[in-house]
Amino acid sequence: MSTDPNGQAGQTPLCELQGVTKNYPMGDLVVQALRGVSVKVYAGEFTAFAGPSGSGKSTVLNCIGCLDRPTAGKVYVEGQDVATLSDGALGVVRAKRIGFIFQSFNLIPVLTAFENVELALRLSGAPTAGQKERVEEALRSVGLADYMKRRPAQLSGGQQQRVAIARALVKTPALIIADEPTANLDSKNGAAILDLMRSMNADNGTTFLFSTHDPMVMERARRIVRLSDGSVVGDERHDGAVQAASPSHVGA
Amino acid sequence: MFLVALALRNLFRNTRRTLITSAAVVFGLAIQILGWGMVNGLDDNFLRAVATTTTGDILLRPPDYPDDGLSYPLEDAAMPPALTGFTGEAAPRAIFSAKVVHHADAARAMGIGYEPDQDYRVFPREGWRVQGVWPDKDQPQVALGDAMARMLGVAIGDQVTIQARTVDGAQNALAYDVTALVHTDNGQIDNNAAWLRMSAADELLQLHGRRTHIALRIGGLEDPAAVRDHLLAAGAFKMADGKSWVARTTREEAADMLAINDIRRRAILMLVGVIMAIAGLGIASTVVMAAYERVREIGTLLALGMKRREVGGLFLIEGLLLGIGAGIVGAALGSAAVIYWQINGIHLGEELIIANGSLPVSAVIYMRFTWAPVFGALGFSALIATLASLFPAWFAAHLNPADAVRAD
Repeated sequence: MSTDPNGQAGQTPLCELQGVTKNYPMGDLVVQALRGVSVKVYAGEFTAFAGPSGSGKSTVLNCIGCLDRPTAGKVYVEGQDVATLSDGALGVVRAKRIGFIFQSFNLIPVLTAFENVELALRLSGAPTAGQKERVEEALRSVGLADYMKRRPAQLSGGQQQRVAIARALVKTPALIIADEPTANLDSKNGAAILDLMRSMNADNGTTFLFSTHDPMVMERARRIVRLSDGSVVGDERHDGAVQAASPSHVGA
Repeated sequence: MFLVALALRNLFRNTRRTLITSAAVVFGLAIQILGWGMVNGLDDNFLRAVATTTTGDILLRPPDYPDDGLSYPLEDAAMPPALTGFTGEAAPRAIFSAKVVHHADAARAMGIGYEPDQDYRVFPREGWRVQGVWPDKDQPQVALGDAMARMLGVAIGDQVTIQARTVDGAQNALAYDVTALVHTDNGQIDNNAAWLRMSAADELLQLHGRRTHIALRIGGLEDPAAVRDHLLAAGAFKMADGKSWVARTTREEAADMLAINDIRRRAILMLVGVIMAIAGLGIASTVVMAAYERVREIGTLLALGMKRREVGGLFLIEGLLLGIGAGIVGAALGSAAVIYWQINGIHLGEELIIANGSLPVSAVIYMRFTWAPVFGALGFSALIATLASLFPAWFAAHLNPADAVRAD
C-alpha cells in the first residue's frame, strides 16, 4: 500500500516509488537512508517532501530524479522502471524529462544566464532551431529578460535561483525537482521564488517536487509527504487532511 | 565545439594558475626549438667551414690514404685521376705536415700546395679576410693563417722557414717570404694553414705531379652523393693502374662532428623531457585542482544530462588546450628567436676560435629554423597534456551526481 492522497481511479502516476530502500555503506557500517518507501506522484502536483535533516527526503528526490539508484525496490518515472536503467539511459531521462532546482543554485559560473539555460536545452537534445527563442522566453517568464548576458556572479541569489528555474523549465520536463530551493535565500526572495513556481504549477500544470523543512514551502505545497528516519510518516493534502502512513512504510 | 568553448572559459577562471602552469610548457618548448636551431646552426657552421676551405662538395683521396684528418702521409700521394665525365670544378692539392719557424718560434702547420686558378674556382674565398697578396708565381712566398701568424709574431714581409719531409721521406727546409695573412671561415685553417703555390710545394716536397687531395665543386642543386656515385660508377676516379681514388661528400667528411651534434640533440631532448615532465605535473595539478574545485558543477552537468564521457572529455580538452596553447606560445617564442639568430648570426668571438683551434668551425653561427622541432614540440606538449589530464578526466567522469550536486 502506498501513500496516494490525490490518486484517482484509472490515473497513472507520473512517478512512483515501490518499497524503495537505500543503504549507504560507511566504513563497516551500513546506513539505511530509506526503508521501504512507497509514494505515488501525479502530474500537476506541487508536493513537498518534508522532514528533519537525515530523514531521507533528498534521497527520495535523488531516486525520482534518476540521480541515484535504490538498493532495493522500484522507481517508476512515466511508467518506466528507472532503477534498472544504465547510467547513460538515466542521463537521457534526466536530460529530457526532469528539471532540477538546487539549494545552491548550481549555475555554471563561466556561462551567462542565457547560456546556462541554453545548456539545459542543448543537453536535452532539443532541435537547434528555435532554441534561442525558447531560452529567451524561459528567462522572460522568470522576470530576467534584462539579465540574460550576466554571469551568475553578477546576479543576486534570488536572480540566480530564477535562472535555475528557467533552466529547469526550458525543456518542458515531466517534473521539476527542487531540493530546498529557498534555503539560501532570504524570506522575501524565497517567497517570491515559491510564488513563481506556484504560478507555473497553476498556470502550466508543471509538476514540482520539493525537499524542504522550510515552513514557507510547506504553506504553499498542495501536498506534503513527511519523512522520518527513512520512512514515510505522513502524507497531507493542501487542506491539511492527513493520511496516516501504513506500517509498511515505517521501518525496514 | 561547445565543450571546447566551455573548457576555454574554465581555463581562464584562475588566470594566474593557468599562466604559471603554462610558463613551464612555454619555457620547455622554446628551449627545445632554440636548442634545435642552434644545433642545426652548428651543423651548418661546421659543414660551411670545411666545404669552403677543405673539402668543396666532394673530396677525393688516393687509394689507401687515411681519412682521419690528422695525418698527411706524402708517401700515399698519387697521380690524379682523369675525372672523365666530370663537368664541375676540381682543385688538386698537396696537403702535408710542416713546421713553420720564425726566429726562435715554431708551430706545427698544415701545408697546402694549391693551383691558384683551379683552387679559386672550388674555394672562391668569399668572406675571407686577406691582408697582403697571395703568393706570386715562381716566387718563394707563403700565405699563413692569421691566427698562426699572430702566435708566431709574423707580419707581412717577414721571412719564415718551412720544414717538411719530401715524398721520399727526406727532411727539407726552405725559406719563404710571407705575403699574406689569411682569415677564413674556418678556425682550424686560421690556426694551422700555410699556403704554397703548387710549384713551390713541388720544390719543397719533390711531388713530381703527385697529389694528396682533389676537391670537387659540383655547384647547382645536385646531390653530391648522387654525383659521386655516378662518377664512381663511370670510372672517373680511376688511375692508370686501375685503382680508384676514394671520394667522400662534405657531409661524409663531417660525419664525426655531425654525430657529436646528434648527441647534443639527444641531450636537448633529455633536458626538454625533464622540463616537460615538470610541466606535465603542473598541468596535472592544475586540472586535478580544477576537478576537485568543481565537483558540484560536474554534478550539475551530469544532472542536466551531460554524458559521463563528455564530462571527462571536458577536462581532457582543458588539459589539451592548456598544453597546446602554451605549446603554441613556446613554439612561437622559440621560432622567433631561431629566425632572429638565423638572420643575424651569433658571433662567438675570435678568441674562442683561437682557443679551439683544432676545430674547423666558423666564428659566426647562424641558427637554422626547421619545422620538424616545432611540430615535434607541439605534439610532445599535446601528449604530455593529455597524459596529465587523464586522471582528472576519469575522476570527473566517475563522480556520483547525487553526491556531486550537493558538494561544498
